[in-house]
Amino acid sequence: MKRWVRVGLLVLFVAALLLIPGLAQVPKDVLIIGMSHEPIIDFEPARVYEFEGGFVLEQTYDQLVNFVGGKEAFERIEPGLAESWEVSADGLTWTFHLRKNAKFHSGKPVDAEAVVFSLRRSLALNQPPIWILSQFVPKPEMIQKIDDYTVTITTNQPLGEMLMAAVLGYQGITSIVDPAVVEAHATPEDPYASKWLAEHDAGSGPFILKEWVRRDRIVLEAFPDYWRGAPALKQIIIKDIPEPTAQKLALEKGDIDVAWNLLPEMIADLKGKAGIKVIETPSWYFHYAAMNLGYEPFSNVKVRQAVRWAIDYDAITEGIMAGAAVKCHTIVPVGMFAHLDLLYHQDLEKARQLMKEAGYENGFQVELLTRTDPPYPDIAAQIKEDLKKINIEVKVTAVVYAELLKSYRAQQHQMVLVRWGADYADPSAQAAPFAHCDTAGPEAKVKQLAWRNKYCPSGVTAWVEQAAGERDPRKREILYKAIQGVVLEEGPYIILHSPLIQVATREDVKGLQVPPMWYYTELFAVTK
Amino acid sequence: MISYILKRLAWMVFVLFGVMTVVFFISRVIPADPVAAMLGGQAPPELIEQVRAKWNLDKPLYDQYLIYLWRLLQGDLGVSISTGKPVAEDLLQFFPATFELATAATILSIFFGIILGIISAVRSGRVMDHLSRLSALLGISMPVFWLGLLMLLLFYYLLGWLPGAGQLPYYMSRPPRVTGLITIDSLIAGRFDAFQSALKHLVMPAVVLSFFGIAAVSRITRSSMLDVLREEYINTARAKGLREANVVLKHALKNAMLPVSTISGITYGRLLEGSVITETIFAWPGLGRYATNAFLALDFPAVVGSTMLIALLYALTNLVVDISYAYLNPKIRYG
Amino acid sequence: MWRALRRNPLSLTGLAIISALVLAAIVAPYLSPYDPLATQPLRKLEGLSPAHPLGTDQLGRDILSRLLYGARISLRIAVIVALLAGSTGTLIGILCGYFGGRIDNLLMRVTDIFMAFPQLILAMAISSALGPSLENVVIAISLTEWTFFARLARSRAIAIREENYVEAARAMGAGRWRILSRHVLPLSLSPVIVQATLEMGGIIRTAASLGFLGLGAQPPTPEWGVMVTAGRNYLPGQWWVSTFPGLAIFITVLGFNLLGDGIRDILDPRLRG
Repeated sequence: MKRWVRVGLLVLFVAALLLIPGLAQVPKDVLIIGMSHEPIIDFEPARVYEFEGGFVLEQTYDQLVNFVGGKEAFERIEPGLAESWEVSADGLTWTFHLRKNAKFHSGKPVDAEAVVFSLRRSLALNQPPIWILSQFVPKPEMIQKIDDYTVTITTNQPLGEMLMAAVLGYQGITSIVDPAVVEAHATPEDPYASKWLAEHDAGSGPFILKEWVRRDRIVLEAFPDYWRGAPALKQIIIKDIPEPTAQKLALEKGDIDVAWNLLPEMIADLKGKAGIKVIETPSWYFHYAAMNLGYEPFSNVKVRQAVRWAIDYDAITEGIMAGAAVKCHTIVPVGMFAHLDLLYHQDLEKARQLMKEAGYENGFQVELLTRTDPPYPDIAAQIKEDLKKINIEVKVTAVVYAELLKSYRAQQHQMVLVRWGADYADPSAQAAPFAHCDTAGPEAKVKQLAWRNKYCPSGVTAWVEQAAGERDPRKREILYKAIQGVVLEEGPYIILHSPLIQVATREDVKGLQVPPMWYYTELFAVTK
Repeated sequence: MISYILKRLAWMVFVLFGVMTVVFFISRVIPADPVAAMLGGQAPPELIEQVRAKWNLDKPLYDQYLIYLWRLLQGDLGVSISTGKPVAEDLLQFFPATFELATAATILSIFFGIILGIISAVRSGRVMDHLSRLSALLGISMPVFWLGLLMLLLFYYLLGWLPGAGQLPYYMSRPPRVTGLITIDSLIAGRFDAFQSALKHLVMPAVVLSFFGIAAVSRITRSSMLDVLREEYINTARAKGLREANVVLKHALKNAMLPVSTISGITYGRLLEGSVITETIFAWPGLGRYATNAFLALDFPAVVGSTMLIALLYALTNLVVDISYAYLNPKIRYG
Repeated sequence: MWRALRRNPLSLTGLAIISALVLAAIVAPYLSPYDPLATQPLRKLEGLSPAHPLGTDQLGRDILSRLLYGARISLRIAVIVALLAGSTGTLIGILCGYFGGRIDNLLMRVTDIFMAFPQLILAMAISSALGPSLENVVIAISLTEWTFFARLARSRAIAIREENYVEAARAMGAGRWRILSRHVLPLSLSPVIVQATLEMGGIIRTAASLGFLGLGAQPPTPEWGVMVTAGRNYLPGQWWVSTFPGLAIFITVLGFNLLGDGIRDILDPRLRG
């Protein structure tokens, strides 16, 4: 019987442990964010391309130029580690004057040496996002130190100031790393200490990467010597909660302060609930459909126009997206430089007339390729219904994204419904993929969306190249608006809307602003 | 006995090799493009070519297989696409959380399974029998993902009795990693608060997972108890005037334990399977989630690596069960 | 068998549940008040009402109608998998068992490899490789299930091979194919059929789990697992969206398990009484 007593005691002990309430209070200067960590690979700045990784780098590193704040974040360029800058008369050489009070987390000053080292390091590591920098600054010798606090960067073509800032303000590859730390952790096989930087930080940002347990938690700690002043929060914990429902429950219970991955319907449910706030910003990505000009009926511009006039945009934006999107029917998103404020609407009369003029009165059949995850199948169903009204018989094929991309990249689709997001904060990030196509053959210079859809307008392609290098903002704006005008009129795209970024927080979280590219969100000024 | 074990181990290596081959080809003969899944829809084509070459995807399939095999023989499982780290390292990192959860769940399912099984056997054919069998079946019939969400909703959100998803409260720092098992590590670090919290966080996912095993354990307990209860010596014990509870617990249960131990081992292997879903719902940083993400992201090195580890664990538990069975029951001889 | 079953109230309940389910699946088109795929943007997430007895989902589809059609899908998956895996497994099993030798050895090694996987993991691997869809779910689960049937049929075939009447038939000059089709196959069949019934609950649950993980049927298919997945985002506010499909899976699997439990009792003579 003694054994039973022992077992009984053990059971009682465990039960008591479970029943005693723990000391469970979240301190006031600690911010807890619930976010899915799934896309995070690591924190090597030269490699980070995924949004979640960029969001962490935004807190731990600085760049030469900066974007701060919410919805209007990208409308102005703020000084970052560079206090000021000027460009040479030929528009090719930029001179940056560094601030003298910026320090790395190691305590060393951020100087010209560090800037040159960091940018050259990114070029040398040659990881996927490097194209954003190397398209304009392909060689390491184009980055030079002039004196301890002056750096020059030469570009291979003249750039508008906004484009320069968008590229140099991009997070990972242009982050300035501490050369001394890199050196300390370098090995012969890994001269740039990539292995070490993947899990630690060597930055000068407002927070220090204190702890990272993969797929569990990321802990950031305030850096008191930050050049803009010590951050208000002492600690930030980014907790991996993959299940949106679990995130919502934790937010409502007050176990987390911010929930990042809630779905529109959850946000709708939370709005108006006591103790909870919702932050909404139109994003810089959109859902769009595209027609391949290689498919006979779509080679006729009138058919493409008819399709654009046949879609019931309101039903998609208000109905399927439940209002969690803003209308945007052009390739430059709302809030980006040179956005053209032009909207389509459903006009079946006009659409039928165009079909008649094109000689397709009796319609045709087409396969619409789309993704299997929401909301794509629902939007596709709506498009199918709309196009039926102008006699176009749509067959919807939903496949996983990776499979879709395979045929899309090979120009094999007839019609697709997918998404696109701006890579950096300048219209050239949109114009080149959507409107640059010198030839539909394999030798094309840019093989992006225009090429995939075999839409090759030679005039527009020339404008796209010209606009990137145009230094007069006024002329640049006119060029980009002209490009949008032509593409909207004759191009292969039906741009539907930009979804809202929706973040829910506890009411006492103050100062959190979310820009259109959410991974640029700064936590420096957030208080609780 | 030793030669039996050696034979079994050799056989296990062969099976693992087969598993590897099957999964390798399954994960590569796919209509989808893993590079596209990796880089998304916006990457320039030159970059895609470059990445394809980096992962040897531009080579013929059998070359890829030989390269993989060669590296595997050197103990290299390749590098995961979605974490950028060697798969072997990833598996080591994610395995302990699953091990902890599966162990807790196995203990629970054996405990409750035996209780239900005894009640069933003693009251065989009567209402209590039906009720306890029904409750075991109720548990296994619940889809895990639904049960998990409902429990989270009830015990965390509505009642507030138990903590929500995760292994520790979000603000609490983890004890330094020694074993990777958070309960053990917090004891090693002498952090009683962390130990208590970790235990509390373990309850809900472990209970959800334990439903997998309860039905099997209670069923086997019931049938072997029924067998034993008919034996002569039980009648003798009864005739000697021992209390019925004593007869059941001391004599019958002890002898019925053999098949129960078998099924417990099998249950343990099965739990790995259940952990795939449980871990997603309860934000548990374990092997199940690692494997799920690998499947969804077409991260083929991780897919092959994690399936092999799971198959290995599965085979190992079966082996241990068989050996202990032979050990406990000398009537069984292995050639 | 029927008499034994009748004495077990749990198994009878299981049988009743499954009969009701089969009936619902058959008459789904007549019973469903709405088209299961028809969306009504203006009637999203409506609670229980006479017009929609189980409410509507996030796209305004009638949940009752979707459940009824979902019964068809779940049953179809279970039956097709059982047929596919059962027939191939049995065929391979009796051939191996009857002829023995090298082929037997090889095929049994193959089943060993397949059985080394936990079922769900293998199904996930196959489904993610083939691309998630309803058809591929059937293929994936069948590939994980056939081994059970092969093992079972093989052991039966070995036993039958040694029976006296088979010896007698052979002595009388019956060809091997005749013996296989006349004696071995029919006698191996009944345990296989029983096994198939036992597996059905598990098949339905695996299919729903794949749906939950995004590796199974895809929306807008009214598959129950997919419905729970989509509906869980509306918990706890609009509980009906995920609760009813969840209940449907639960009750169906329970029905099969109850029945299976009874059948196992009958097959295991020690447990009678």
